[in-house]
Amino acid sequence: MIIARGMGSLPLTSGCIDGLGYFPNTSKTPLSSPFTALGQLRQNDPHHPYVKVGQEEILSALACFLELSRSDGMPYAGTFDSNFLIPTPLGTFHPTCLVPETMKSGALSLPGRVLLLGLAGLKDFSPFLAVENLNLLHSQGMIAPSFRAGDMEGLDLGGKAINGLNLARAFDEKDFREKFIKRAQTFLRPGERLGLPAILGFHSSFEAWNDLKEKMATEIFEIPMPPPSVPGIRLYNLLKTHLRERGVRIFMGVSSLRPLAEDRRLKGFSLGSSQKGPFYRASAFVLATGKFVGGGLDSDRGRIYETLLDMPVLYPQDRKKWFNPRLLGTEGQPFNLFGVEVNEHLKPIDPGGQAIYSNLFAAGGIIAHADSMSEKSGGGVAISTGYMAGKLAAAMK
Amino acid sequence: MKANLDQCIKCSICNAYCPVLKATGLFPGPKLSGPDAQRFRMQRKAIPADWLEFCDYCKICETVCPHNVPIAEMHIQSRKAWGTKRPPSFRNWLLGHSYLLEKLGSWATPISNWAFGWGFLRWLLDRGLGIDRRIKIPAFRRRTFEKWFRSRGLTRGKPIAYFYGCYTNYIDPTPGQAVVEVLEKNGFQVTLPRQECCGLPLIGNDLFDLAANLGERNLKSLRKSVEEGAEIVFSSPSCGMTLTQEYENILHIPGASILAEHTYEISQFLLMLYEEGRLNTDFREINETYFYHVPCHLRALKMGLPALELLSLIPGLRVIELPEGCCGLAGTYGYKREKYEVAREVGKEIFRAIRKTNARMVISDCEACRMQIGQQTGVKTFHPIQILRRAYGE
Repeated sequence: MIIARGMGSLPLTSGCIDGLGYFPNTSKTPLSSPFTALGQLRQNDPHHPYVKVGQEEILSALACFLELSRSDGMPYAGTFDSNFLIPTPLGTFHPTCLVPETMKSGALSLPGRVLLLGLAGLKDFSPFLAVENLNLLHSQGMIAPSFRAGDMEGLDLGGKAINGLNLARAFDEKDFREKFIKRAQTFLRPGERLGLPAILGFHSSFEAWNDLKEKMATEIFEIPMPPPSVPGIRLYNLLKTHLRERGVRIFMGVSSLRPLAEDRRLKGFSLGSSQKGPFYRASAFVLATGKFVGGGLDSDRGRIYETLLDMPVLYPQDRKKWFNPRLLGTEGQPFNLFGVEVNEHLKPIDPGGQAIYSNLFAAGGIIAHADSMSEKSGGGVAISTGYMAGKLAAAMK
Repeated sequence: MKANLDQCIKCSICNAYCPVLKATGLFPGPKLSGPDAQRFRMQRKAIPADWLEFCDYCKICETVCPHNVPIAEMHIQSRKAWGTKRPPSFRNWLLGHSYLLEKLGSWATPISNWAFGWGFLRWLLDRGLGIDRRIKIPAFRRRTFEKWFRSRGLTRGKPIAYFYGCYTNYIDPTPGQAVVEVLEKNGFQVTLPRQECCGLPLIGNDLFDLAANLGERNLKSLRKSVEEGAEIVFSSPSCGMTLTQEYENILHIPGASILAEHTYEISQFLLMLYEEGRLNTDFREINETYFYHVPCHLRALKMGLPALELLSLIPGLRVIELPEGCCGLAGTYGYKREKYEVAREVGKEIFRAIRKTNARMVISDCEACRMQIGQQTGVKTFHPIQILRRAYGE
């Protein structure tokens, strides 16, 4: 059973699974393999969630995810042993570990010529801006391919606004794809790969992508876009369908939860603001509420707190140390490191080191010591801690 | 919940899941109509907003929002502000007063049923008023739920008040009868406090003052029940949402919080009895697989899916949740000519999913969902409590 306040943060993400992009996080050059950095990470940062999960569990967690994505028709590519560099809509690069198959051939290590095709009216993606920045990187020798921009005009969505979501839904329809292919052919020169914003289908990205690839007879890739991100929503839907088919109940929009606990054991939650229930009980729980964006952490002027169970949060008392005045500095923002401290079984612990509840585990961003924003490790930490916490919780049944 | 637009981080998740935004280009989405427009309203700027009417008030935006932004409430504030500049049309006034139409229709059966089935009248309503002629108007009952109830002998037990709603009374009394019988099986004496329409159709048609009038009358009579020691149950999530949330948050009826404290959704109430070990679980086996559609307004009650939990107590029965989404009817919304197509488009995915399962029967708590699903897919529809009553046998 999953109880959630809202949709979670996946629609805000690129849909790629970051492993470890930069280490140490101040480094200017992206890591070529997250796996090889694990040893060093253990020495530099022994509290990092990756260290607690351990190499073996990380690998089997990601293998499990890859298997799931394949069997459910939205295959991901990659391994923990290497990073892809993929282009962003601004024309920068992003190191990431697993990408949807539909993004694979966008890797900036693949030489050749690429056409980035924008769609007039789609405000979140300007191919000209992206191409200018990418070609700058190309001339500096930092990336292999060279880019050219095109802009397709006059797309009609039947009066609906031209945005990622509406376009993605349009690409689910065969007729729309046919029309698009005909017009896109005129832009494409022989030997060029085609880069498109990530809008190739809402329900069936893989199908739409395959269809386009075959009919246009060239490699095609998607570039993730700003939120609401279609690949992020696809990933969410993939996981949701997978769980629901296995009988998992998902309750969303639940804003007030009252925990029922007895001697360091969490028994369940009652939903609803008054104390009426219904009550949902379980033998074990996994807290996966994220940090500030996800809603797992919140703050007022003097303190930072964990929103569901008010468990102790690790953070410096001096408020000045919460922020870095360099907003987008590579060293990151200190508040992204905040979270609850967990033991080697991923159980949240109090400052004395004792587990707060004997049957509560934590997973993902709510765990302290990983700044997923600056080190680019969000998806990997989430999957590996979630996998381990889930297994441990299931064992308590 | 106080409207606080600073909680909104502009993540657009509400837009990503808004069923109306997906269906039509005529609505700019909950983010713009809610938190974005709120900033203008705070500066006392009126926003010209015909498109506000295209919101079907499913509250999915609030359900998916990760930051507790009361989007639907802000949206209603927009409508209130705009409504003072533009009085609602006669059609909207009429649909808002659907409870009067139902009362009249029930009184005038079979003439009313014949008339609403008459193509020419429907054509007139369509052209003249903009009530779409393609949508079936449900048949009225002369023998209302209330009449049925009064015709029965009194039972004894702990008193409990039942808010049954207009649809149960005038159109389909069977879910109401099931509620009464299930409660009696559990040793309760059901009472029917005096009640009017909850007022949601009026809210949906921008007639807020009239809705507040009905609300005050309901509050007065329900409060009396509470003071006499009876808790209140409802079987329609939309009516229940209006009683427990809208009276206080939208209509600002003083003292309405008492309803939030003492009113229960029927499955929630029975599940609570189960928790306390007081539910009669003398169920016979039902070896079937049924499909369940979650009404948006049940989600808006924010208490999980008690009907699913409850039905899981019946031996042999398997209930599968259909993919989430809004059915599109949204009370009187789907009756409006300019919105009929939007409503169908909104519910398309659910209808498709139902057809795919080859289900002959769908369970849903909300009468509007049952009506829309029944009409668009041809399956039979039931309230979960009807299944429960069947499990008690007879």
